[in-house]
Amino acid sequence: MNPGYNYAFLDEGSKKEIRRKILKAVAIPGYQVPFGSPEMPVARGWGTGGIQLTLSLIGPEDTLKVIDQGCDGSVNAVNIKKFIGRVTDVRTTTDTICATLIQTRHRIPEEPMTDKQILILQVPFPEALRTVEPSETETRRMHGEADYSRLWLYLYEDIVKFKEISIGARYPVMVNGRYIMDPSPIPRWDIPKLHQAETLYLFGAGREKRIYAIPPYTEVRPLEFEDFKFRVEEFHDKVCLRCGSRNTFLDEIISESTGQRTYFCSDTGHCDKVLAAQEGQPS
Amino acid sequence: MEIGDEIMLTQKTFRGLLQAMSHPGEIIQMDPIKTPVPTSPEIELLYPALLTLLDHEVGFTVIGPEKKKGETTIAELTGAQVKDSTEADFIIIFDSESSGEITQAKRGTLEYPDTGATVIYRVASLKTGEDARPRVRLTGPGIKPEGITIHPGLPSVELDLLKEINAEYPLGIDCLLIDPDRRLMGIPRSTRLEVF
Amino acid sequence: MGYVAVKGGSEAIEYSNTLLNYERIKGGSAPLEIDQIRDQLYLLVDRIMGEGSLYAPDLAALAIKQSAGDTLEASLMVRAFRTTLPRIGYSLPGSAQKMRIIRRISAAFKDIPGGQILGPTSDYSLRLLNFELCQESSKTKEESLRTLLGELSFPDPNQEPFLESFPKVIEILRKEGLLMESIPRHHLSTDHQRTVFDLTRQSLTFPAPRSAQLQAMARGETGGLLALAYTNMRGYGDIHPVIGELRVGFLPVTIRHPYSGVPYHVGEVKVTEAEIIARFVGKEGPPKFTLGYGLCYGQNEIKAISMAILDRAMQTEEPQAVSENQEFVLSHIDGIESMGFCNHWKLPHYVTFQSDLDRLRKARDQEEFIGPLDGELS
Repeated sequence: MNPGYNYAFLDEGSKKEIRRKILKAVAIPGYQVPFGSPEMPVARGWGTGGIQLTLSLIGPEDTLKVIDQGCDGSVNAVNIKKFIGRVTDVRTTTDTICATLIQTRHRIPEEPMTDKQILILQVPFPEALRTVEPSETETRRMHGEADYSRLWLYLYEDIVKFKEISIGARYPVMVNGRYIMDPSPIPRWDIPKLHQAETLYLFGAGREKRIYAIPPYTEVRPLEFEDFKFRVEEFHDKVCLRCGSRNTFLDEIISESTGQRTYFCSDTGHCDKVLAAQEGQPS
Repeated sequence: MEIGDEIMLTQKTFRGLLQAMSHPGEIIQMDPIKTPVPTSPEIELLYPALLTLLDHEVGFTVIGPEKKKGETTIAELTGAQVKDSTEADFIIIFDSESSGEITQAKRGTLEYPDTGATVIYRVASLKTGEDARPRVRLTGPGIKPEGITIHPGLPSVELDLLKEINAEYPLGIDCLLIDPDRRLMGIPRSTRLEVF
Repeated sequence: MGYVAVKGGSEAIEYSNTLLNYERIKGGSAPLEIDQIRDQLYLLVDRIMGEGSLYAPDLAALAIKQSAGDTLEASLMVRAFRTTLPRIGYSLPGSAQKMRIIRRISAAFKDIPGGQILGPTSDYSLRLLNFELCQESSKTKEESLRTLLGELSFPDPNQEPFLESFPKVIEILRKEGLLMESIPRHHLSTDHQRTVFDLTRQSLTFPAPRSAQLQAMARGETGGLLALAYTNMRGYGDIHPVIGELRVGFLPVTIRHPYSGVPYHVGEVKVTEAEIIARFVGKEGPPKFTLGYGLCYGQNEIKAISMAILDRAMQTEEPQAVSENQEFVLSHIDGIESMGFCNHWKLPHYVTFQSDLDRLRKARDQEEFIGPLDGELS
């Protein structure tokens, strides 16, 4: 650990402010709490919100996992893990089950998390209504008055135009029957994991300076119509070429040499485990 | 206490507070933190929460007996500013009831409901036998679908006030209850209370 | 190609950092000294202190060196350093009247009490590349300095009293009752307006009080502020500004002594201050002048003037142009935020893209994307 910096980099005053805001976020599920968001040595847009949350929570008893697009080896995830490791000396892991804190960009791990774990999501766009309204003052009002008609209209128009709701990732959800929330750019595949989960989800948008939360056992419903229900991505008969999984979110890779499409588990930690189990090795 | 110790102790305390607020009704065991100078047992008991959450950027008030003394001590210990109940971000109640004053607390606005106050109660006991009254059934976010029944150590009068204040969700106040054995329970405004 | 190995990422980052450093040191030139950057690229240092929101010339110079001159990266480094510093307290409010001036001009009046002092400025220089600078050596540099100092004359204090400080030009207008300090924002409580906002501790919410507005701009990116102010100057706005006064100089910094509580002078910071005079026609009363105010670290006149114009623009009672929209302006002028987000598009987005692909395919009612891709890669 670098002796020049405070434990977990942030000064205690910043941690305190973030901690107060986290508690408020948890008390009002799905509502975006504004916070000071001091600068990090990592650029804005690259996970500062998630990092600030992790640094405000983390302690020597934690075990940290950091993923990006589901992958522990992704360059930015590695970089973030290195930074947090430098300022805390914390144990790290690529195994979802062993982690107590998981910081993630754009995916929820395949293995269900327990109430001894916390998932911290990095958020680029905290405002679900931004698609229909650029002004923060106005979207604040809309949330305050639960005036979500314009978003519903947007979805309706989508269906009229495309016979489908065209939103892929960042699919808007209704939290605790009160707030429409942007779940961050996780694929639709991951949306059902938010509903009545065992684990606490914390969302950090550093650049936009917002924190929000979904406590365990909370109602989280993707927006849908009676006749146009929410659907997750379909992989049909595709399997992971590496471990053979049929029930995970898959990355599509196009081979340079053959032009063929192959598929691999996006959640590399999970893929490792399944493979190891098949090969009869401890993971 | 060394600065380094304080950093670690407040981190641990915060994880307890977070667990409490995200699992309303669940009882969390807290570790003590020694005050730098001798204070009353009430303040010593609440000190971990106060040290973790309060600083010069927030306002607070004490409701109940020894109000002035409590406010002076807590201001010295944390640097937080003394305010009245309508402006305080944190309301400290040593006696498990506020004589109605809790209705003055900030509940936030529709645009910024998070500005509603946090109330820290010192209650007589969080863990009591089956016959303890009043018993409350809690439902809502953080609680399994079947709900949880608890004894919050607050009198019915106070519980009724909380229900009334939090009836217009998302406006409301969020509560932390701490008993002399350092047991902690959280009741955020999102929790629905049914008093038996 | 296919599976991304976990270990590859770490090595790739290390090498990218190594290569970045290599690019900086590979030429045969002598290593830059911090002193050289601080002294001879002082305007760049001033800009980085402002955008980095930390008055520390040596640190700004180091950041400039480390970032190989990338101003946004350098500012980010300075901001990140600032975050690590413990907060001791706040300085006492000071008046720019006390500024130790090196430059002071007004466009509003031909002559002003204390006089127009051009000071060090490129305003009237001919922008012809000076190739003699290629031959500058320590010797020639010192000779120039000696000559320059030799040319200085000191006025006789018995003939002309040496002015320690200069009155504000806008005082002239104030005394005549022609100046409106600021346009009241009726929807904000006066309490909210009176306490000084701290953007590094509180998140900006709208409508923002004036102190928040000014602080956000003081840390704002020079180019961004200029572009937005320019829209207003060119006609997407109605201010008709005149520079009442532009000052560059050293402002004393005072704090309350931690033990005695007595005001204590701790040093001075170089700042640029711009006060622009603009038109205001209210619903009642005769027309008055209003002020737009800008203040930033170092000598950065473009920034101070742009700030002042935007400060006034954002006080427009019925905002129409983007430069008049406080939320629009303040959300987009922070260089660290904008640069980070611009760069973030380089991060992998393949999962979200996969999600979009799925939607697109559904919408086209096809299972496989049939198109130029198949057959092209063979």
